[in-house]
Amino acid sequence: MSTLRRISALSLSVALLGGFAATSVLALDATGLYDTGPAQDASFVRFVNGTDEKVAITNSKNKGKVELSTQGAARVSLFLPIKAGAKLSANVVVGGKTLPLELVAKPSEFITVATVPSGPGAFKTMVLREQPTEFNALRASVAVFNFDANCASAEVNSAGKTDGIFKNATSQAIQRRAVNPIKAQVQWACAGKPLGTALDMGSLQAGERYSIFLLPAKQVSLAVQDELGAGK
Amino acid sequence: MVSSLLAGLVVLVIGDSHLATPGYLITTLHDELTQGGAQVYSYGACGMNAGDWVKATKFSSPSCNAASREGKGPIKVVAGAKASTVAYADLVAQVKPDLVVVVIGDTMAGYMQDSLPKTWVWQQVSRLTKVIKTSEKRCVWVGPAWGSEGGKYGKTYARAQEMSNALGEMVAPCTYINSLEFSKKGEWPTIDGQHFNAVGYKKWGQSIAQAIAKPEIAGSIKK
Repeated sequence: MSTLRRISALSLSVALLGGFAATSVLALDATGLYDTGPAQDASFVRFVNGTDEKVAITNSKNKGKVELSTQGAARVSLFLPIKAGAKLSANVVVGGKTLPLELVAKPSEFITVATVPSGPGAFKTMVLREQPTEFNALRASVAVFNFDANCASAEVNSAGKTDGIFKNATSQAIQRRAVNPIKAQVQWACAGKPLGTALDMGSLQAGERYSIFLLPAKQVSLAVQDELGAGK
Repeated sequence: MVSSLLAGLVVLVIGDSHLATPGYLITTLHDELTQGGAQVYSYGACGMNAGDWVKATKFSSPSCNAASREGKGPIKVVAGAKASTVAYADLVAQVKPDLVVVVIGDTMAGYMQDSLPKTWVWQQVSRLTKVIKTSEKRCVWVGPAWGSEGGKYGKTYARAQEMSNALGEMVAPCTYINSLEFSKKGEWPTIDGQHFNAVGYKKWGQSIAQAIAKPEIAGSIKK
């Protein structure tokens, strides 16, 4: 379960939420009795460290900060609520460089922002967006995120096998599938060659969502259980 | 009269506006389960969402009420301005239920919006199902009934169906009770498209109690 350590080690400043959180402006009905849902669907953003340096994401509006280390699940932040349609402006600080970041989420969107190397001493951000339509509580939902431009088409296999649980996981793309809640140990492969070490995901839980990352950092792969940050 | 499988069960019912006014499910469902021999504790919070039951949460719409009822006692109504939900864990510790019944659907269906806020609904539902799972209590989740179209909440049959489908997908480990199967569209009269008249709540309460009393639910609970 080491790769599924929860993000307790993650240094996450909840102050960031103040700037990112959806305010859930609710449309009261004409009589003012009560509303039946938010004005727009929920959206979320999370950050992933795909480098060998510490990464900090700061929100200039409220000085909120997310810090990501290079250790296991602490490379990945929670999914933080974000208001759809509103521009999020932040700075990603890594290896002495500052990368400006601007995002606008659509309703129901889950955005993953990875910081990755772009050359010697240089970095860039990569953004993958997903609007999931299935939330099946009887199965586990597993997604793969390939942020490694050096592996244009990867696959994820059961550890020690070539069963292709996920095939053709193209760079800068997401694949997702529902799986039965079983014990899972997986490993990335690129061009048929195993990458990194096998990832022990433990016993997948029904109703939970999981992410398996291929990152260009020295520790090339990572699996985490997704968690939502606080918010309305 | 529902089956004797309910006899001796302690049932905790939590829900939205459908349980927050005397004559609604806090009367009819509560009575049906009680007449079947269950000890019933009902708590209703008008306008509140599933996630609002994880922690005690003040009402977002203070113009409507909260209500509670324990066993054969009276219904106690509290004005929304002074009300809050009760944390699920506190209710479970107090009531020690054999079965939890959740009646929340209409408050989250986004009837005034162009589309169902499915991600937000999942967020709300999963917040509550996580603590239900932790409590290791058998539970059922009652979805919305048809109601009628054109009321002041903007409810439509299409959205009720969509919401019911979504809840049916999301509420495990709770067993989903599909209220749309209990009546035809518009069969039960409403007062505003969403809330039923006395006849409607009587039939809805009976139908839910009968579904709970079936062997696959009431008969599967270890007392």
